[in-house]
Amino acid sequence: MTREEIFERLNDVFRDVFDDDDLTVTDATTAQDVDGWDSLRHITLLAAIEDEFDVTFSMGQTVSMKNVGEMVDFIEEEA
Amino acid sequence: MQIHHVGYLVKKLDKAAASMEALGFLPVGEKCHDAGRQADFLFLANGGYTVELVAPEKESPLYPLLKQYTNSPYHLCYECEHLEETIAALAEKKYMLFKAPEAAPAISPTARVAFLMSASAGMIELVEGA
Repeated sequence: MTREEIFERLNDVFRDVFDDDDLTVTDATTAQDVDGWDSLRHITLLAAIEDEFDVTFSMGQTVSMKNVGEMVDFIEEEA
Repeated sequence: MQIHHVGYLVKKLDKAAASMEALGFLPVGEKCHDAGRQADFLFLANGGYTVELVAPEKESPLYPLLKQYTNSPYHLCYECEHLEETIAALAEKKYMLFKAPEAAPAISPTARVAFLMSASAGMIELVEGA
């Protein structure tokens, strides 16, 4: 799966989790950039990403990823 | 899986308990402070239903959840015999572990709990040794 393909599917996940059809994320996107990205929504987001890409985050990764680019890096390695 | 309790996140535990007692719930044991989770807990039962009132301190990792779940249910807790085995089985069904197993003295001296999230079914708690 290419990085572009990951972003295409990942944007759908973000739009669903944050209920915003216009939301588009990039490598640099962080929680500060997305309305409603709090700790609970973060866990929901990661669970949705696991579901979409059939990957499993470790306990450490659930809190250590600093931006969307790090999520995509992980998906690229694991999916 | 059997439901052990419904978790309610509340701001003021005593007031919430009084409101639940008006509905026929009675306290099960005493109010308990969990230093690890930095929150007060009280269980109440009504017939076959048990609720867990959780009032986090401002320093608690649970406190931010009050923004979303003020004075309302926020998880169902399910009983299991083997915590790690159940976590592994549910991981196959897309439940993501986000709070590793830890002691839960508010439930019993031997209880351990863990929290998982499903993107489509929300947050659940598992309890072993309740």
